[in-house]
Amino acid sequence: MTRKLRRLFPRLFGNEYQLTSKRTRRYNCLTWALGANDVWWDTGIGGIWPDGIPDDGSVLAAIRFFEHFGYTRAANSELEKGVQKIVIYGDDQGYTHAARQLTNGRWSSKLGKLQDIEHDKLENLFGHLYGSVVQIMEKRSASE
Amino acid sequence: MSRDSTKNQPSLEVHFLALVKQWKKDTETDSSITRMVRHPAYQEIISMGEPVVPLLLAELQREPDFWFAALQKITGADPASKASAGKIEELAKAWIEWGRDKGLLQ
Repeated sequence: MTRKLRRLFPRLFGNEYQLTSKRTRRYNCLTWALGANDVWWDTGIGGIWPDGIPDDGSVLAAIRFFEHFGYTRAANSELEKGVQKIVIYGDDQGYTHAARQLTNGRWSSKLGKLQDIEHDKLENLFGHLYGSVVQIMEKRSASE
Repeated sequence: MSRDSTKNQPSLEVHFLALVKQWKKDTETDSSITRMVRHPAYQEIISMGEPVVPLLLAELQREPDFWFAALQKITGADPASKASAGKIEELAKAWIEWGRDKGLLQ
């Protein structure tokens, strides 16, 4: 699997990530970024999508999606106590992926229909499949 | 449309399975169903029409995946409840039951 992921994501070096689940089609990266694993959030047939949120697959649609769940646009992806950060990846066709920051500063990603991984850097998933980071979102915890 | 309609078309099944294999390989990192559906292999499967419905249902039974757009486009049916949206196993189950009711799947 390491070789396969490296082929898909050339910047995903073996010492910079760990697999953290089995492969599953039960949920996708948007769901996982929200900390859930029960549905496949998407606009296409078979997915579920909040009412009133753009359904065109654009980066703006992904931003509105996370805003729907209480996130706001953030200036950076630095680790901050009491702040949950999510990044949206995209390319010229729209959003491609989302990843959630962990409390240790690493990132957790559900790779499409494949596994979840924890990875050190956002750049680990840059490339022809996911493009690059196009927006950072954040949500402050209620206690902060 | 019937299950028997694909019996004498081995080339159809071979071609279908090749398209399935290609689509699965190329879309395994996709989160967007729209991108999955836009893939040329998926579009070709849709263009094959009613003869591939039993094959699609069998494939869905073997390994649930996002074949719902193709099935809906070809058959015009929408057997899953709204509450199943986003739940691939429930959607697959609804389509498999639909296929059994129509005699398209054992």
